[in-house]
Amino acid sequence: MTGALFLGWRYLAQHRFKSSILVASITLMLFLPVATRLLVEDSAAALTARADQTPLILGARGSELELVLNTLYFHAESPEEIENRAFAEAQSTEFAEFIPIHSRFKAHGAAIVGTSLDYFDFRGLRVANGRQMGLLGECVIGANVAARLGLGPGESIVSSPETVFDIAGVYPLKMTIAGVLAAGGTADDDAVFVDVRTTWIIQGLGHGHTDLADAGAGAAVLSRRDDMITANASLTQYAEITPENISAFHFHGASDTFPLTSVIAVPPDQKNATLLRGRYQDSELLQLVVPGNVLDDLLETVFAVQNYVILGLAILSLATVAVITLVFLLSQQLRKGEFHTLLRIGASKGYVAVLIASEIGFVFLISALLAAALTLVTRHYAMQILQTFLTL
Amino acid sequence: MIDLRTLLVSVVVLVAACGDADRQATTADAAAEKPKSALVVTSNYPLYFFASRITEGIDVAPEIVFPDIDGDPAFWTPGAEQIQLLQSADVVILNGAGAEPWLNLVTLDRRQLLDTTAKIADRLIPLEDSVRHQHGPEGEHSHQGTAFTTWLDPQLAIAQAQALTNAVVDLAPAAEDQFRDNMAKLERELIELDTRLAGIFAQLEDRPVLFSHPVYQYLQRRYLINGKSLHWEPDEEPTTSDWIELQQELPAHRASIMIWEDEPLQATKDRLAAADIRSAVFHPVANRPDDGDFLSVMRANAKRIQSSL
Repeated sequence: MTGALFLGWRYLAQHRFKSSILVASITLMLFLPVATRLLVEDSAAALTARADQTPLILGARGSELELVLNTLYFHAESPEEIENRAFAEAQSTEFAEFIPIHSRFKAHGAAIVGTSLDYFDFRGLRVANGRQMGLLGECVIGANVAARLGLGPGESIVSSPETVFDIAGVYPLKMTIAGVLAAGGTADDDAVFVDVRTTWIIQGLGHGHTDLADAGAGAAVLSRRDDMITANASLTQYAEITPENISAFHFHGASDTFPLTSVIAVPPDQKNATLLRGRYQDSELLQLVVPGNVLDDLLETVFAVQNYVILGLAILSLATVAVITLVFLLSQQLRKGEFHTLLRIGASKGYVAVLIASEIGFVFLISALLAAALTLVTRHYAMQILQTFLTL
Repeated sequence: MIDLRTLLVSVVVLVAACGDADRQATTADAAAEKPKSALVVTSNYPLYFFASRITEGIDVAPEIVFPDIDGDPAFWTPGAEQIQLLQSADVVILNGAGAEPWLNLVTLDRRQLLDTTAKIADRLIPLEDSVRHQHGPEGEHSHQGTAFTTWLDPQLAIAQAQALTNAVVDLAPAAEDQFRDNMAKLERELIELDTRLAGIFAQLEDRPVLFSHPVYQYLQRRYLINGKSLHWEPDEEPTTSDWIELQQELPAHRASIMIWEDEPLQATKDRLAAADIRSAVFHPVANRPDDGDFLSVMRANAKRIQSSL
């Protein structure tokens, strides 16, 4: 019987083109539904885990999904904003620990996330190289940002203007990298973290400039009378915060009105969570959402999409099986003379049957192995592959 | 039905969410690295002195640290190592009242901050002489605040020390009685200082006094001193305009004593003496003194004022 297997293998090797098409078709037929299912399940598990670690999110009333996504994954381009007073008022309730988030700006494609030190404890983020951010203008960067841009502690990264044509808007700020976070396999790896006040400086709500009361500021002073100095447009604002100029940085306006994109609330228990949710139930400007619930709704959609995709693939698979069957049947017809010769030289009918079965078996075996290998590779590199695809 | 937008959002979320599996382990690692011993960092020397006295001789007391600061702590900008020290502290004891402008520049966990004047905010003195300025379309503004040398009023110093005591009690509740005993001793010494200063400044009656710098607001208010502040530095020769300003001030405020933060230049003393103004040093002791401690420096201040009367 090994002779029949050998002949079957040699037949496939001899007809490489036909065999390759068959293997490719069956591989894809096996791979696509399995990979889709695993990818969705892995992603859903990861998504749920991050959402479940985030008990409550306070933000502007509007799309719950966008609020949650921007807080968890920092993806929104123009997120709705709330005033910093909402953060202060939430804190005054003492129902939870509150962590401010201001995620609106980018630096080299990475989201700049303005927050407090509480965020790092909350997410369990550890500085792997360097130290924690300490001064305004300093940042700690995620592991992927550091690897992608080849940056480390002591180097700097510049924030991007919101639009190319926004010459009168947000000035780029050169931020010093204090440390690099250990990789955690989350969206935090792709972010640049700064003090929330640094994002306000990027937004132009705070800045540093020469002391106008100083004699050296003469050229920048438009008028000076009693207790009032007016500067002209030549007043240079610092684009980088250094130990030498940091004391010149200050904010204009009441910090209560400064923007945040959301606030993460971490209540100590269910009772406090419920009391806190009650506070915002009737608010017209604010909403307090449970990320897990919002993402459960999203996941229902994801799973529905997945089911549609798998149904489509199943139909395609049926068609593929039909075509493959046809190919094999036609092949048998074409090889009638070959099988007749084998019988004439002494091969049994069983021998011929094994020969045909071995050819089919080899095709399915190779396809199954390839599909398994592709599934493993896809699972391993799924994030990078899809991210590359999405950023094309 | 599922629309395209929801579908796109779903894909983006799935991409970003991938690979979260190791999160739990990382969280556990970070939690395991938290320091165990209590560390208290103070933002100026008087608070360090109070904290040291309150925790003196108590084994379980937290470690009290006052960073090495060159010059006035109110103008301090912490360096990288000092920021790490502040971030590693269990409690950072602040004077409040605007004495820590560097707080606006550094990233600290707000839960570790204790403002010792938060409960006496109604007794703080607002500053009035800030310059407004305008640049850009956002309108005029000024960078003003409150006077911050609160410890120069021993009654406020006691209130600050009490806030500090509560903080160390929270860190080591087992030694509460000892902390409060030490606080009681400190309070007695501060009251004694208060009484002594009150007696000395009472001798001034309503006679005008000049302060070389506007840092004595609380001393002035506590002891009803008829004082006016200049902006003179003890280690700098006053400029011609400074002398002119003084000449213009004197007819309305005929001072016979100028109180300095530190020993002024001899030439300045001589020229003031020529105008019948004696110089006396009242060290605000915001930073660690070269010799002695907070109370000994304050007693020396009292002695110098007494001898100048």
